[in-house]
Amino acid sequence: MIEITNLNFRYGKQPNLFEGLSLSEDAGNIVGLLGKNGAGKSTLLKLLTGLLEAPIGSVNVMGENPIWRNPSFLEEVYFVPEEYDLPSVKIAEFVKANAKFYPRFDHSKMGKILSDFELNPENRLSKQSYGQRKKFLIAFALSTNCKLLVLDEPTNGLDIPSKAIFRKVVASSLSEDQLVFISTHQVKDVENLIDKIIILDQGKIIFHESLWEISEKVAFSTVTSLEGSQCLYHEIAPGGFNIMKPANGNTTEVDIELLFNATINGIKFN
Amino acid sequence: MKTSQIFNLNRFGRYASSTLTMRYRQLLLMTGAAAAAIFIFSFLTLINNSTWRYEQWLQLVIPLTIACGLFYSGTAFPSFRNREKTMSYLMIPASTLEKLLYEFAERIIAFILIFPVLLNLFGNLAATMVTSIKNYQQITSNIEHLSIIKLFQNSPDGSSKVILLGAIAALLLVFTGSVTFKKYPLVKTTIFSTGVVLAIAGYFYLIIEKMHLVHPWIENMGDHLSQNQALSIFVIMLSIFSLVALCYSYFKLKEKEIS
Repeated sequence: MIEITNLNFRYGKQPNLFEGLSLSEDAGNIVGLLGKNGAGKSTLLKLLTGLLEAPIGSVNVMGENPIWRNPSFLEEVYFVPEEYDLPSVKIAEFVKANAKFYPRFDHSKMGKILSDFELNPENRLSKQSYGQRKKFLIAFALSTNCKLLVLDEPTNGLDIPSKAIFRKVVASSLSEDQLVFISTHQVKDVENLIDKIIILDQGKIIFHESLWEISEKVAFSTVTSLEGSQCLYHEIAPGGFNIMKPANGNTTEVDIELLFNATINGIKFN
Repeated sequence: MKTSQIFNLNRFGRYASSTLTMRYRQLLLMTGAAAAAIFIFSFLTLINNSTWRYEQWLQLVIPLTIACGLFYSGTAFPSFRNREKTMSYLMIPASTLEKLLYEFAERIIAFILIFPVLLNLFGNLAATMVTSIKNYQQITSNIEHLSIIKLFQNSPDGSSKVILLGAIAALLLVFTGSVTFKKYPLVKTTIFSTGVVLAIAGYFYLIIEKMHLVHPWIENMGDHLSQNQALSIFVIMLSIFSLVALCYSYFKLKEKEIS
């Protein structure tokens, strides 16, 4: 569904943000896009959605160059940016006016997610808090049933119960022909939700694997002492250490934060 | 590329109705502000005059139309004033041509059709109120009501066409500025176009008046052309300018990106 080849990109006269970046991703996945501040996560999402043009290299999404912004392409892509500005209309009015652009829009799913998020369709969007508006946008994005959903920091501003609901509604709303990109710093919020991880660092993809592949290779645990633990990477934690070690057939839940820090610190475990 | 990717009537209808739903409050507010401006300016002018013939309305109609028209067209593409709104706008599933045509219809066609009606309604409301006040104060007055149609009918031959095309060209100029400049498009367009006009005028002044570098026929073009020919040339130039401005707006919209 997504094919990026030898992408070079920079803003103005700044140094290259991406240099020879290539990426391929198929439908049926929820991909977590991780990286430090300024690594280029949001830029990559904008390139995928046609909000930025790639001057060198090619970006192909569903067989099209996104920058053409053809209506048939835009009908199948929904982008929830980190910062947004919604019009001063009621939720129901917004849905009525915008749902018609998306051929597979599911009104019953919209109603269900709004109710899960405790949002009243009669409420005016401008009177909602930042978190409520974000929940509304997530609900709308999921209801469009677009083939490509791009969520930039979707859990920023969400309260604790809403983060759990977010994971539940995303996991239950998607079908096999959809691909979801979630860019986030809040890795705990997307644990048990994403099934692939991409880590960007200094304009390159330094990690791109599924959680299943990761759990085949490494295991995560907490130990009181590092002695004899075969650890590949460790961090001090309350009561001991969080460690990453060879799996050796022992499958554990992936600690995404530890994995991210290990990868950024150059730990290889192939 | 399939033509349905460039223009589709159903999708255009959907886009227009959706955009109107999102913007109707701002549009109503702008219409109300224009009506209030017409009424207040007409009232303040008429209250200080005991006689007002319908031709004198031109003194009010022209500056009000220029001010309101430039402001309204200069605020086209309101989403482009804000980065987040620009992002949402570009992601709406409609083609560039559909987005441009809608904006053209809302900011230029609608203005040309609705503003004269507002002028007639609120100009005449002010005239009626001033007459009533003067009658109540037992002051003799002769205030004629405004009729835009009559003003147009009584203008010299061909000039109404030039006025209409000139208005469209001026509105299109600031319309183009609104898609080009992110902040203060009206101010920047005014400064930019004043600079261009002064440069062109200065250039022609130098080569015609000072250096006499052009053919004498061109130098004395005014003597060779009849009024109708001059008007036709002006109409053609305005039409070309309008088309160029519209094409430029299309490409600026097409290449819009978010940094």
